[in-house]
Amino acid sequence: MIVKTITDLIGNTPMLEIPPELTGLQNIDLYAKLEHLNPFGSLKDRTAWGMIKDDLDMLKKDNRTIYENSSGNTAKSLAAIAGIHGLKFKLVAALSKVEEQKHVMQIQDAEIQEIAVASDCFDPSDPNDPQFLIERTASANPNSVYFPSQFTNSKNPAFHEATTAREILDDIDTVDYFFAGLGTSGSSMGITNVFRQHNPDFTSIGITARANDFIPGIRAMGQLWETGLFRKDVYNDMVSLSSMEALDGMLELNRKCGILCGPSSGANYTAALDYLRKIDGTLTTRKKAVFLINDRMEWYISYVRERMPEIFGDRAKENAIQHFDSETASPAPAISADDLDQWLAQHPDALIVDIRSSDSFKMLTIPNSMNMPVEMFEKWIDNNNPFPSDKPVVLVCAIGERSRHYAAYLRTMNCNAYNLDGGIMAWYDDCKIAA
Amino acid sequence: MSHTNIRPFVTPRIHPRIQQALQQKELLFSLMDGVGSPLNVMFPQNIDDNIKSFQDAFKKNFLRGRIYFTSKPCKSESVLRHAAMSDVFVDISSPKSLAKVMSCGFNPARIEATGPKNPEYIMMCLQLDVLLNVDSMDELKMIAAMHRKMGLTRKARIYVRLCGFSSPRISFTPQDNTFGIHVKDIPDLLDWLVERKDIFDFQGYAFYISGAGNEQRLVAIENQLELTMLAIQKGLKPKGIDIGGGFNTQYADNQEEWDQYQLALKQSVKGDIPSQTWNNSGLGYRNENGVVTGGPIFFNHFHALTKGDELDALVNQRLPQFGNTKMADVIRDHLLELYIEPGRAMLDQCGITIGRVSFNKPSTWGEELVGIDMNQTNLRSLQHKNLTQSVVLHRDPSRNKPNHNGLYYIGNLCVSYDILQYNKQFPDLVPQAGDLVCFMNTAPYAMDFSESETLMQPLARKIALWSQDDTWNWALDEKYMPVDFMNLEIE
Repeated sequence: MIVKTITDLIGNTPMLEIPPELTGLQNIDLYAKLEHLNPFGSLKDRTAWGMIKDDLDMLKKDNRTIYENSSGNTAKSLAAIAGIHGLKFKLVAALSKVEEQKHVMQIQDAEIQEIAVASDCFDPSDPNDPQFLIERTASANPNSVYFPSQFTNSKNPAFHEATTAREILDDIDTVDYFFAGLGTSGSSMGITNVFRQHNPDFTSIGITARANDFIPGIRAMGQLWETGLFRKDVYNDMVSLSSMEALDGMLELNRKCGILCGPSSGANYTAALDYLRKIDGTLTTRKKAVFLINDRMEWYISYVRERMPEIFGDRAKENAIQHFDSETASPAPAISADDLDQWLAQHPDALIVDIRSSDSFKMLTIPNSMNMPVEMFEKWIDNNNPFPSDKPVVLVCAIGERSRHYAAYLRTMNCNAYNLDGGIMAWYDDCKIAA
Repeated sequence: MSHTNIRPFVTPRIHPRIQQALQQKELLFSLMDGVGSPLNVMFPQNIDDNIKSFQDAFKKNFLRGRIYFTSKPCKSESVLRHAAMSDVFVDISSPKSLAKVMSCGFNPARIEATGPKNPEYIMMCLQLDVLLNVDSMDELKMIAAMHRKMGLTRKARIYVRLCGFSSPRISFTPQDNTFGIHVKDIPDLLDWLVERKDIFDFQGYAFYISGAGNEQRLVAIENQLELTMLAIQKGLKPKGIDIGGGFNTQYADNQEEWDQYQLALKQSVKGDIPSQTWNNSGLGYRNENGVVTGGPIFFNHFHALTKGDELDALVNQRLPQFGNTKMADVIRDHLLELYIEPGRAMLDQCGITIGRVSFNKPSTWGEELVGIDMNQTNLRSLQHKNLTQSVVLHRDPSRNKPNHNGLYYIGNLCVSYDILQYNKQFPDLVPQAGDLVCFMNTAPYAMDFSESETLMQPLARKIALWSQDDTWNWALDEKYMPVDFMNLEIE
């Protein structure tokens, strides 16, 4: 298959039937619409293309810069489309909560302006709201700025009505239940409208994130009314999920279905299973349910790692420093700051290891000490003694607390470790240097 | 289809000690009838929980420093006297408040003076050796001149308050602000201070960021730390960094109810359910062609982290400008101390305001109004932005009729807009003359921050209420003794 431009590959994604042995459903067929197979890796390829395709000639003629205010999949798709057509792309958004999304856009050569936003949802009274900032830039430069504004643009749901929903109906004729996480709510609204026209008994379930929790691409209920497109009465039911429930669903799809999707797809799957399993036994006719695989998994690695460190082998080793309790362990001998000079004179071969950060080490330090900043130091000594066993080692930190902890740990590793009592603070207070 | 409660309300978070006190109905009725409405009831013992919460965060992160109790949100003396028994410092903002905190047990070494300062205020601070949080170059020059004129040999201890933070990695438009000296002016200011080392003991920088997100705070802290290093390079000896206050408190009792409430408010603005606000004001939201726009003018009432937990999370944030090291490590490793100035969070659950019902009547639109013998200056409700449900104590519940459609509390001012809370309230029974309406958690910024004797209505009286071995004691607020003087072992 040969295509002229990569945007020709947007849409026409296949559906995968989730095996009944996995869902445990007797009366419902559950289908996943594989939107992660879109060329830039997400459902948002459709949103971006749907909003921009009719304006491309104008954008190229004016050589406009494309702006976006959320640092997720839509931005990535817009950046890709901008690149194909020789246009610039600029992201003005709150500090990215998903590191890899930002890195992908940096590789795409997007201009990124991150804003310290006071509130976590659209707030027109906040002078740092990205939407407000872009709209101001756009009105000051009407011929050079293009802001498709996915949260308010009616082309967003319209393109999903025309493509995503139609494709699904072409494949399975009718849909009884549809599950979608709510971000802009554009895709789920567009799709729901079509399914409901087609089947009056259709049920649509909107999925939100728990308040004070974070699932990338899904908003909490309290944030949804600011999006512009959202209308609660479109949905028959709303469920809210935690990030861990979303990740559980994601892992099952990743591991048992071979769908390498991200956490919002996992939320859709978890919500679908919870909901359908409850009603499955009450059904007398066969039903069809659909959820979306929104995007790919790769750009959520640090998000997953933060919440499920055990997956990455960050498991507790025996004798690991993370589980060492220096309160109950026998302490390492302490050297008071007063006695340090005398003690060093008696132990000329002693190593002095200062575990503070390198810039503080540069500012003030005990002569002849070496610097091993604490995060490196901890990895260095975890389950191991890197020091020569015949030499005493004096650990130094700011106030002698962390060094006491590590010295006691090193003792359990047969290291001849000592703690400088009171740390560099006590040593400094004792006027060992000219103040 | 909809799960929205048709009587949407926000249950307030109430400290167990206050829950118990609200059971002492006879005591509260007799206090009200004897002392008069409105009545501010202080719970000085409750500040201990707030102090401990912050202290725990310092301990957990091995940080040395000071907790300055910012006293300006409330004039209560009992809370100050109680706090003086703990290892906390105090932050004052006027000459009179300096005199007051000293009478409540804080010696000058534990006091920091903030706010705009007139010559009298500066002179008192210099005379008493109170640390001055300097807010402008003019103030600095005034301190130097005053110091010389007074012929002091002891140096003036100062913090310098900063503003105008910026970062190469993240941009934002700071809200304009009257506080602080711009960071770009600091290098010159430091040179000026170096030349006056005989006058000033420069102890570090302070800042205050109002209602900002964590990101702006981190940028401010990075700027502050960079300037601290600059001061050290120039030969000054800053001891720590003062990161101000602004720590969250929990006004609502739970997240779910708070979410439901906000949803209901927006639905009412859209017209899907009856109005939930006086005069359908929307509290910041408005209906534009069927779409809800605008933003809330009220606080977020429920936070994932508050007080010491919030501080703990903050000091464990990483600072990109410092090699992505944790903030606590940077502070500790540079041998600096951390100073915080919590006000609202320190006064959390330390006081409630009680008013006695005088009458009932319908409004022009037919809303149920309950008139209370107090007024909006005693509660500062709109600015205070507290939307929680007040607690009603009935003299005899059998005479009260049930409340179906919600009601509004109005005050005793002869004006048409004396509304005590702008969102509809839903007590089970309609309060009647003589019943008590208790507004929760009013000590920070609500009960006396801007009260006045407008229309010659009285100011609220304050009493302190405390529990000891299951018995309840009370005293006039200014007579509260944190030491149990009746049970001393006198030789």
